[in-house]
Amino acid sequence: MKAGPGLLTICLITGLSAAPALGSPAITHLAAERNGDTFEASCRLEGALTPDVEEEIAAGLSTSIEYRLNLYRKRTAFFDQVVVKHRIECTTRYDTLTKQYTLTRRLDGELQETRVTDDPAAMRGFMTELHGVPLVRAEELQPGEEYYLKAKSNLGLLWRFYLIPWPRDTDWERVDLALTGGKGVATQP
Amino acid sequence: MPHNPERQEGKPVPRVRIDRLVRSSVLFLLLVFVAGYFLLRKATNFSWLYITNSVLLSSLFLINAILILTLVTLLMRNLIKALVERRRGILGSRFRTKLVFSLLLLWLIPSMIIFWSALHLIQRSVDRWFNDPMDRLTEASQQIVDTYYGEARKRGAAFAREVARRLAEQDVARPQTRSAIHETLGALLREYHLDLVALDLGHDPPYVVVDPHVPATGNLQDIPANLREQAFRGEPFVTMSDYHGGMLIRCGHPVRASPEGPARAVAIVGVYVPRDLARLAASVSRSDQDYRQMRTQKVQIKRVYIMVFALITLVVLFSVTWIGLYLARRITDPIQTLLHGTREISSGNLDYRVEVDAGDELGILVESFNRMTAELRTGKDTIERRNLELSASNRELVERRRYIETLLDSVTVGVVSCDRHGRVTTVNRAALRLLALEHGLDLIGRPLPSLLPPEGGRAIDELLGEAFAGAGQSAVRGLELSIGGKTCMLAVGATSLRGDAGEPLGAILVLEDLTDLMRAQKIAAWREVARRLAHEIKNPLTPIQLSAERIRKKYAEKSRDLDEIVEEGTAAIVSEVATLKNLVDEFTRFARLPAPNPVATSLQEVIAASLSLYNGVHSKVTITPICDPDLPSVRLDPDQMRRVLVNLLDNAVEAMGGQGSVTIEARRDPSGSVRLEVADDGPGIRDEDRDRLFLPYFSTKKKGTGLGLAIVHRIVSDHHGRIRVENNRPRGARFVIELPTAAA
Repeated sequence: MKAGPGLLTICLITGLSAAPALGSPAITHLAAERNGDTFEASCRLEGALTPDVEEEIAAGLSTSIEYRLNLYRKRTAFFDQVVVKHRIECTTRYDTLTKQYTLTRRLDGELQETRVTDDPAAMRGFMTELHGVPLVRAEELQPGEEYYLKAKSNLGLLWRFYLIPWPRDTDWERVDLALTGGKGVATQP
Repeated sequence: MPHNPERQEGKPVPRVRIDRLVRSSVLFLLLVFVAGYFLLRKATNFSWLYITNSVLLSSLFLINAILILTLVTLLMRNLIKALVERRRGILGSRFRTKLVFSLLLLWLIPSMIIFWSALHLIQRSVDRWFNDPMDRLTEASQQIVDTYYGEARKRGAAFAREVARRLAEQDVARPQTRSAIHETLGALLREYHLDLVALDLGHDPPYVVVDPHVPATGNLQDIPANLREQAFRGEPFVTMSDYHGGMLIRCGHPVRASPEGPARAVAIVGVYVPRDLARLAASVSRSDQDYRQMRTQKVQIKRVYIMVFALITLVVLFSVTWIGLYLARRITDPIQTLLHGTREISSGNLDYRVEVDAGDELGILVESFNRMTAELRTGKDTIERRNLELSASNRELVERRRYIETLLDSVTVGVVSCDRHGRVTTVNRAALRLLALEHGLDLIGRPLPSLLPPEGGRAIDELLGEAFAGAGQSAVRGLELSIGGKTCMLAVGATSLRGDAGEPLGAILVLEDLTDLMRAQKIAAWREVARRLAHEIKNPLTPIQLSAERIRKKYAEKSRDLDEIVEEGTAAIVSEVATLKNLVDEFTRFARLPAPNPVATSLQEVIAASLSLYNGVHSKVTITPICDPDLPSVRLDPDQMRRVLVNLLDNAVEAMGGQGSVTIEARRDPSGSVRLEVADDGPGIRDEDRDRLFLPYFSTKKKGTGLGLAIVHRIVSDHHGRIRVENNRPRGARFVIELPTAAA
């Protein structure tokens, strides 16, 4: 009886902490490429559009996926410096009458792109793939310094033990920035 | 100054704070229920997007979590507090815990039943909303719309393909005038009975021709750029957009110069769905969309309901716990304050007042407590005041007692006080000296008679008896005591001490040493006796001397009447000698008066025997005896007492001049002694003679020896009695003899 509350607490913590892994969404193919004088980021989000999410989208619910891209400069003996922070929000809304997806993408709150398509694959690609997201101009980076890009995605909430909301986020994915013009690609999860 | 325990210790919660908490909780509950009501209203309006919003759900979860934590904290705090207070012995902790948990249990069971019932009802209700018939109905409705719009889209796509082919054949992309393009498009519109035909050459705004029955093109939305790009990439597109309340289906198809060539332009064909039909389709589609959205949010809806009901249940439980605590405090706080008050009162702080604003029976209790405290305060003040008064009075009494003791010790008269049983309570120094009692002897509490020689003890005992029986009158007696080998004469007066109701409390005895006075009086008396005796002897000696000298003279003269003279002279001498002899006999008789021989004697008989001597002797004198029939027999010497009566009767008859009335009365005195009175109606006794009346050889008569009343006094004294003379009413003298009961 005495071990009851402690055991319950352990199970609760274990269950809650294991919650993100259960949905298994993850950032893959994270890359930071130099395109001309600008570094651009690209990535994919795997496991985000579960059947439940697909059903919600098909029902016409506005669904959003948020990406966070942070560019850091490495520093020794201190916290790394945040050079750039970007928040990209991809939203889709399906019109059951017109059978069209209205897709919007906002960068740091500003509308970047609006698309209309009736192709579900195009919608999935729009929601789970980022290409050519401008990070920073190459001249703004200091030569000889080491930079790296971290990315994660916020997918809203999931519910643990039916009633406990838990953020359905991916882990932070990291890739080093190659200043020499090469291409930095994150390891596959 | 009244204390305020709430301000002093801060234990009891002020009522203002409690009321504020109650008002806040009521307001909070009201807000929660209003929010719940609007939430349910929203739920019935099927705006589930709002309800299932993550923020809302998270907020509900947060509120529930806070409530659970607060509830658990509150209960745990209360439990711990109760345990601590129980260990400290604070009153009310057990009651508070019991009340709170009883209320909680009382409400927990029905709340949980209602909660689970509501959950079950929600589950079933929500599941019933999304049943198969409803699915089929909405799906069928949507399929109708989809079919209609699908056909329109197909038709539009087909016409777009056909128009694109015709425009490619006419090489419409070549440079030509705008009116020419419009004319070509108009011809196609009319030929195929289309609602809209447009041509997008990519660099200019599209050329658009609309059928006249279709509303004007002012509000025609641009085709999304990605679709135009898609079309120029060679892929046809279909897009639908609202148009003047109706629906415009626009289908785009690339216009190629050759089948494999690039798209030089995009032919667009529009099919217009009229307003009524479009609205109907939109309504059906919106309903289907809402339904499908709701179905996807089915779990969320349940979750919202569960959280709302959990919130309500928790609020109820929280409120019950709070109300329980409030009620318990409302009861225990006054009790704690009262307990504190009783401790203050028991510690002597009678100014303490309990200030608890309670309107029920506890209020009455508090009011009674305060009244009791006030009365205690008043009582204590009165007692303290009385105590001061008593202390002052006691001090005064002590001073007075010391003064009296000093006074008593200073006076030469002995003073002894006894209780009602004759036990000594106080005795002064003079009394100790007179009674030859040791100073250090513990006399207090011992019977006074036992401290004296037997005859003195008996006399004191009798005197005390007389004093107690005398109703406040003093009993006085002369005592001749032989103490310490010396004989002393004491005059002892006893006065009974009585309480307010007349009950005997004791007696006070005043002892006066009369030894020296009596000795002086005796010397004076004997001197008077000697003077009178000499006078009495001298009186006959003068005639004797004169007779003898006359005889000797006549004899020397050889007088002729010598014989006569001798005869007369000797006769006179003989007569005077006889007088002298009589005088000497009387004196001898007085001097040799024997000691009385008391025997039980009837006083009536003594009186009768005395009166018998006077039968027929004095015809003009009336002697009336009055005897108490209950008169007891008296221990006395009857011969001496008879002589007393005869002497008194003789005096009375002689004083009346042989004519008058004499009364002899014998009765029992209220004090217990026997009182014998002889009263006549003669001239009475002068005041100046009264003091010397009983002295030997004092007489107011010409032929009296002056020993009669002295013998009477002597006999009465020998019987331990007293004799005094008073004026008789209306005239005459009255001799009063009191014989003590001990002698009776």
